Amino acid sequence: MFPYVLILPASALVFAVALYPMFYAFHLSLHESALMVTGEFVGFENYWRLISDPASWWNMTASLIFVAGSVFLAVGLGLALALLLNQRIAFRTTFRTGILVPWVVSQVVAAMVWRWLLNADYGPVSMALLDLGLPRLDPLGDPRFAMAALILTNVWRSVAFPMILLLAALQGIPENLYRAARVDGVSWFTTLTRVTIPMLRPTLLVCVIVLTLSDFNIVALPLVLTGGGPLDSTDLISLRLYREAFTYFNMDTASAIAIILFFVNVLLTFAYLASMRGRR
Amino acid sequence: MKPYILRQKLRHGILFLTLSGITVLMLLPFIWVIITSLKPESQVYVFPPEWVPSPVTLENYQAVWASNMPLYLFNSTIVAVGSIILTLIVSIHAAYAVSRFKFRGMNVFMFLLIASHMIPGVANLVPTYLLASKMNLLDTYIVLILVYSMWQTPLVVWLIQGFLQNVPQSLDKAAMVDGYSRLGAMYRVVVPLSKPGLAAAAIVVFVYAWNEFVIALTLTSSDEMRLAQVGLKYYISQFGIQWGELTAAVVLSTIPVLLLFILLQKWFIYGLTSGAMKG
Repeated sequence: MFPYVLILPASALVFAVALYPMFYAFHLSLHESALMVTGEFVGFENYWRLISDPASWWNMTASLIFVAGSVFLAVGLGLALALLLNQRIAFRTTFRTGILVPWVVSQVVAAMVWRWLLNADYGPVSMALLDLGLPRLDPLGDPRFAMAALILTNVWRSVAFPMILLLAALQGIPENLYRAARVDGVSWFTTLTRVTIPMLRPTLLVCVIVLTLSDFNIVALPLVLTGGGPLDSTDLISLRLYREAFTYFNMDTASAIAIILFFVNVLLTFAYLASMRGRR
Repeated sequence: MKPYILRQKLRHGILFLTLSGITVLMLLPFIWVIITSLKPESQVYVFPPEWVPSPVTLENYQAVWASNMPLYLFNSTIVAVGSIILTLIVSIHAAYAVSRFKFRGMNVFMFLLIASHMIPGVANLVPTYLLASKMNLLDTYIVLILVYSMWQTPLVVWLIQGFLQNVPQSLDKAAMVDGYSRLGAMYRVVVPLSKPGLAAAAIVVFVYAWNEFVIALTLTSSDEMRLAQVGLKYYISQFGIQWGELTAAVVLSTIPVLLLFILLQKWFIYGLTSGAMKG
């Protein structure tokens, strides 16, 4: 009996605060609701309404653009930084610490910092553009640039995570592989594509999946940075969920989005676990 | 100098300059915020912007200190510490069970933990809000501590369990021969030996609870219960943003996490990346 007593508090917590609420969300998604009151059973009507609404397809597309852009840039730049830091150089730890700082601050702080940095009227980016002879521009107020600004801010905030994992993985690559490559007179670039990257593949995959999951579910950063605007240009599916629930109190629609989001997460997690298993 | 050595030096020089440039670029947004927070109001809104505040003033910090921000920081501390305590208590016991016993249902338990990890936080928020409202738990420390602890428990069980595996089982036995009960052996002998794991776990929970925003925003409503991150958001109003005060508030609310990061970097990195490496 003893081990069951030991796991009881953790099980109770996880069941009551995570699993039961998700069942409840599924229940809600099959019912009509007005404000806080759950109405009658409507089957999958909430889901059909979402699927037939072009806005939700844009929300999904926006999320896809955001996730693809963020993950690609964060992992690519993270790899470049890891390669730079994996060499004997003075002040290496100082550089690493400095690059890690954006990773430990909150999403709200990241959003605030970039709002101020990109401010069209008083910001240094605006001034730099003028100095270069380019027109003054307001990236956060312009639908053409808002998504790029959002991705840029997110990459700045998250690039250190793949960097740290890849740096650890780089240090685990056996030195004799590089010695063999040097003896064979292989160029720097070929060594990178034929030795380093193949050896890093499992870690690269971990980075891609973990970042995909966290970027897909992100709310705080886009909510504070752009709020989904301007003109819905950064209206991610996670933001739409938040707004349906806590701005319009459409708990039925919000629950249906929550369940859809949940299944996307389950799929991604299984892909993750499968790739981890394939490694052994 | 031999050409080989010269090339080596040149390579090092370029690498050093590149890394310096990147580090400065990564920190530049913060530097700009710190500079702004030290400017008098009249100097914040000028174009072209100036990189040196003259005169340097602490008036923004004084204004933030006189506002409700200290209360929000206090609330954040209470919730963070509460979450650390609850998460650690719950997780230590579970981790001990997983690392010391083979029991029926252990796989179900581990699956439960992984399953809860798959739930997106924002998806869980809608039902949590409704359930908390039904139970009159909205706008309390308790609901935030419960929700935060739940999100961190799977990861922390995993983290501590890894440390407990490395404590030899013979130590439990020896302590029990000395007259301790199972639980006594666990509290007095095994857990103290995995202190680094507990420290890493505590850091992870603290940073999460301190930085979290959306849950705190939705589950609290009154000014007295507001957390620091939510307080920052309220500097944006329909009348615009007081950037001088906001930047000072941003700096103040970031100091605890930054201090922790610089002092305990090793455990910090260990804790925050270990979640990604499980499987």
